[in-house]
Amino acid sequence: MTPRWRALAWAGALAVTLALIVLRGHVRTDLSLFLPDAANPVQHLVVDQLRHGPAARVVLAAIGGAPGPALARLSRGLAGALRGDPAFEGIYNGAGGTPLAGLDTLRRYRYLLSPQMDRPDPLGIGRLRRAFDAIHRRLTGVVPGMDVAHTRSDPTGAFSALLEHLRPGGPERRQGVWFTEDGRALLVLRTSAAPLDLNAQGRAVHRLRAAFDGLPGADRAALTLTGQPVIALRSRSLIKSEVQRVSLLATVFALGLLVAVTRSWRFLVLGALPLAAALTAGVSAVMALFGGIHGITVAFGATLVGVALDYPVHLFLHRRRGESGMVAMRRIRRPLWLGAATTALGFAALCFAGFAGIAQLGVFAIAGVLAAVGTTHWLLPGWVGDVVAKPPPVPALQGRWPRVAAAALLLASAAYLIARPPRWEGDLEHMSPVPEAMKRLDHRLRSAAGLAGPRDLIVVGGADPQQALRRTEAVVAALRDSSPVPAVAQPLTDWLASQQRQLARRGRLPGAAELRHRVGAALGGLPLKAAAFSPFVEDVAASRRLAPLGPDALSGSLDALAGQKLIRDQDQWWSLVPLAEVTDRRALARLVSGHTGAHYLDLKRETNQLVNGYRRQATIHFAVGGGVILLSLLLALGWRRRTLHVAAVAFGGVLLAVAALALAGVPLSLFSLVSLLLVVGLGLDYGLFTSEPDGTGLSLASATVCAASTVLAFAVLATADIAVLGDIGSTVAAGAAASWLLAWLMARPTDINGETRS
Amino acid sequence: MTSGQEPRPHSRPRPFRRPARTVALAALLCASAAAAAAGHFDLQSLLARVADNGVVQARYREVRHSPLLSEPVTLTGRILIDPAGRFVKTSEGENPSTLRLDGDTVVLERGGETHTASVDRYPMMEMLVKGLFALSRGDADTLTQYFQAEVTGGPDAWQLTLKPRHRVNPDNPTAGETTGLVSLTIHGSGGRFRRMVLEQSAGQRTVMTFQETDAQ
Repeated sequence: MTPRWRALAWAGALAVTLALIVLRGHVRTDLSLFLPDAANPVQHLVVDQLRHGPAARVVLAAIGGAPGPALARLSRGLAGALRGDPAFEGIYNGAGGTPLAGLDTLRRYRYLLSPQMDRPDPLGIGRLRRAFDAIHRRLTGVVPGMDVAHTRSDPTGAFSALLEHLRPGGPERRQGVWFTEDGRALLVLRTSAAPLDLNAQGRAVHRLRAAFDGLPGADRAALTLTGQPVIALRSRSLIKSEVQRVSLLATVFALGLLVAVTRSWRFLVLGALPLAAALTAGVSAVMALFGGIHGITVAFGATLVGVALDYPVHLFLHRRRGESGMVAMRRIRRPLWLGAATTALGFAALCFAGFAGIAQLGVFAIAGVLAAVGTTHWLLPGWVGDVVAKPPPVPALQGRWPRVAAAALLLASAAYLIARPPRWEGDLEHMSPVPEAMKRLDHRLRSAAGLAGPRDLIVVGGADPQQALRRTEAVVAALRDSSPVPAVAQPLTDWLASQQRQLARRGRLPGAAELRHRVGAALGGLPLKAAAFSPFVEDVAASRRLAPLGPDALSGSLDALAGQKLIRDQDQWWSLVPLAEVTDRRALARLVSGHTGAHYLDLKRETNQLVNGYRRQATIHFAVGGGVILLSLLLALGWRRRTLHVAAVAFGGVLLAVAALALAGVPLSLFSLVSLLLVVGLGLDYGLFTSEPDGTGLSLASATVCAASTVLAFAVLATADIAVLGDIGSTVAAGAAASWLLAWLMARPTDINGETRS
Repeated sequence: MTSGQEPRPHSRPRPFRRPARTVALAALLCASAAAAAAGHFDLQSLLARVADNGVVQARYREVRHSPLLSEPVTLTGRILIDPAGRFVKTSEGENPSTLRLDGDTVVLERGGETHTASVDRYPMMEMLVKGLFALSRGDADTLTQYFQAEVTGGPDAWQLTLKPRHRVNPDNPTAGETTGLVSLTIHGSGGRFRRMVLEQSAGQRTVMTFQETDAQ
C-alpha cells in the first residue's frame, strides 16, 4: 500500500470512529466508579445507603445575609413557592404549616406505637391523675395561652412522646422556622429524581434557585446550597472544566515542545496524528467495552498524549540526513514496539481490577498506546519528507561516575523508603473534586439539620420486615438494660414498633367503660370536666380495633427524614439503628454480637478497612503489571546485561519517583499506583532506546525530548483541582523525570561521530 | 411584607438608624395627622399613638374560660411589655409565679423553682408577644407580617383585632394545625391598652383587663 492509500485508510478509520463516539458518546462524572466495592453484605448495604440512599436526594438550603425576620420570611416564601413542584418530594423548613406526610397516621396509631405505652399500667388511674394535674397546672399557670386542643384526646401526651423519637435533635427554631447556629434560615428539600440522574437533579436545583430569586427581598439575602445532589453537580462541572483545561494545555505544551525541537510545522502536523489516533482509539475502546466513559478517564487519556508523542519523536530524531522515513523506522521499530507492547501488557493488569473506573484507565491506555505506535509505524514514515530534525544537545556523560551516581541514588531512595515508608491516602473523601470549603459547609448544614451520618450503627437483618423489627427491638432493649449503657440507640422501632409489640400494647388497652371509670377516678377533686375527655376515651376504644401498622404505610414519607431506616438489600431486610453518645465500642460490639442478625458497625473503622482492602488490591495489580512487563522484557531480550539496564531504568525510575513523592510529603493513592505502571512503561521506552548501541547518539536526544514532553503534560495535570488527576499528574511527572535521569546516567557512552566506546 | 423595609429585630432596642426608617416614620406621622384631621382612624394612626407610650406596665386581671375547666379561672398580677423584646408577667395568689421572656429565652419561676427554656417551647405565647411587641413599638411591618390587622372605633375607644397569618405549632406539625391562637383583640383608648381578649381553638377564651401603673 502506498503512503497515500495508507493515509486515506487511516483517515477513514479515524472519521468513522469519531462519528461513532459523537453519536453514541456518554460521559459519566460520578465518582462511584472509582470507589472500592464493599467486601461483605453489611458493608455493601452501608456503602450503598451512603451513596444512593434517601440522603443522596437531600438538598440543604441556607439563607443568610439579612436580619432574622427577613430570613424567616424568605424561608417561608421559598417553601411556599416550591410546594406542589413535582421536582421536590418534600420541603421542610421547620414551620408548622409544612405537611409531613404520615403524621396523621402516626397520631391515629399513637396508642399502638408510642413507647409510652410500654410503661407499667400506662393508662392506669395513677398515671392519668398525674397527667390531669399537669393539665390543670397549665390551665391555671402564669403562661398565657396554653393550647389544650389535643389535650382532650391525648391527655397523657402519647403522641408527643412518639414525635420525640421521630425527630431526635433537629435544628433550632427562630421566628417559627429552622435556623443554623450562625444565624441562617435552613431548609431541607428532598428531590424526586433518582440520585444518579444528574440532569434531573440539576433541573430541580435550578428551579430552587429561580424560586428564591423570584421572592421579594431575595436580592438582599444570599442563598447557599449543599447536599449530595448539589455536590454531585458541582463535581460534574468541575470535572468537565478541568478535563477541558488539562487536555488543552497538555496538548499545546507537548506539541509546542515538538515545534521548538524540530522547528518544522510538518513534524507538528505529523506528531499530532498519533495523538489523535490514541485518543480516538482509547475513547472508542472504553465505550465499546463499558458502554460509556468517565470524565476522569478522558482527562487521564488526554495526558497520555505526552506518551503517545514519544513514538513520532523517536522517528523524527532518529532519522539521519538523506535517509528515508521507512529506513529510519526499520531501525527503530524493534525497541519502539517492544516498549509499547510491554507498556500495554502492564496496563492489562488494570483491566482485571475490581473497579470499573480503573479498568477503564487500563483499556484506554492499551488502545491509545497501540494506536499511537501503529500510526507512527505505518503512516508517518511515508510523510516525513526531506527535513531532518536537529536533535537538542544532550551532553553524553563519560567515565564510571554517572553509573555510580545512579546506583547511589537508587540505594539512597531504597534506604529512605525502608526507613520512612510512604504514607497512604486513607480518606476516600480525598477523591472528591469539590473544594474543602463546600465539604465543610455541607457537613455543618447537615449537622444543623440533624442529618449528619452517624459514626456508629447497629444493623439488624431479617428475612422479612417484621423479623428485622423484632430483632431490632430485642437488641435495643438489651442495650438499654445494660449498665453502664455503652451508647444511646435511636431505632426506628421507637416510632414504628413490630407488629408483635403493637398487638401486645393493643391487648393492654382498657375498654371504654373501664377507661371512663378511670378518668372519673383520676379527676377526683380537680376542677376539670370528665366529659371534656370523651375524645380520649373514644380514641383508645378505636385503637383497640386497629390492625397493627406495617412499614409500608409510611414508606416514602417519614422514614427518609429520620436517620433510622428499614431497607431491602440482597433479599434481606435491614434495620439501621443510629447510635449516639457512644462510650464503649468494645462493650457495644460484644453485646450486639450476642443477638441473631445484629451487627455493630463503626463506620470509621469500616471505611478504614475498605481503604486498606483497596490499597492491597491496588498493590497486587501494580505488582502483577510490573511482573508482566519484566517477564515480557525477558522474553523479548533474553537474560543479558541490556535487559538488566532497561529494567533498572524502568523500575529504578519508579523507586526514585516514590521516594521523591514521599520526601515531598505527597501520600500515595490508588491512582499513584496506576500512574507508576505508566512510569514503568516510560522508563522502558527510555531504557530501550538509550541502551541500544545504535551509534547515532540520537537515542539520548530523542529520549530527552520524550521525557520533556511527558513531564510537561503531566505537570499540567498535577495542577488539577481534582485529587485523582493531581495524583496521576505529580506521580507521572516525577516518574518520567526520574526515569530520564537514570537513563541519562546509565546511557551507553556514544559520541556524535557514531563510535561506541566500550 | 407590605413594604420592602426590613422589620426591626425586637431582641434589643435600636435607635432609628436608617434614613428609610426615619422617612417611613415621618410618613406614618404625617399620614396619621392627616387621617386624624380627616376624622379617619386606622392602623397607622393607632400605631403612632401606641408607639409614643414606650414600655407598658400595668396591673391585670385575667379570666380564663376553657372547655376542660368546670369553672373559669381568675388570675391577677402585674405585666410589663418592653417594646425592645422583654415581657414579664407575675401572678399573685396561692401559687405566685413569674414569667420572663427576654429575647428567645423564657424563665419561669414558681414555688422557689426556676425553669428556663427556649421560646420555641411556647409557640402560642411566642406569637402573642410578637404581636404585642410590634404593636407597642408601632412596627406596622412586623405586625402585618404575622397578623391580619383590623382597626375599628376612634382615637378614644379603639379596637384592634389581630388574626395570625402563619400557622405554627411544633408540637403538632400536621398540616392545618395552628398555635391554637384564633384571634387577639385589644381594646384601648389613646395610646393605652385597656382590655385584651384571646380566642383560642377548642373554645378557649381569655379576657385580660389592664389598669396601667407608672410607665417608665
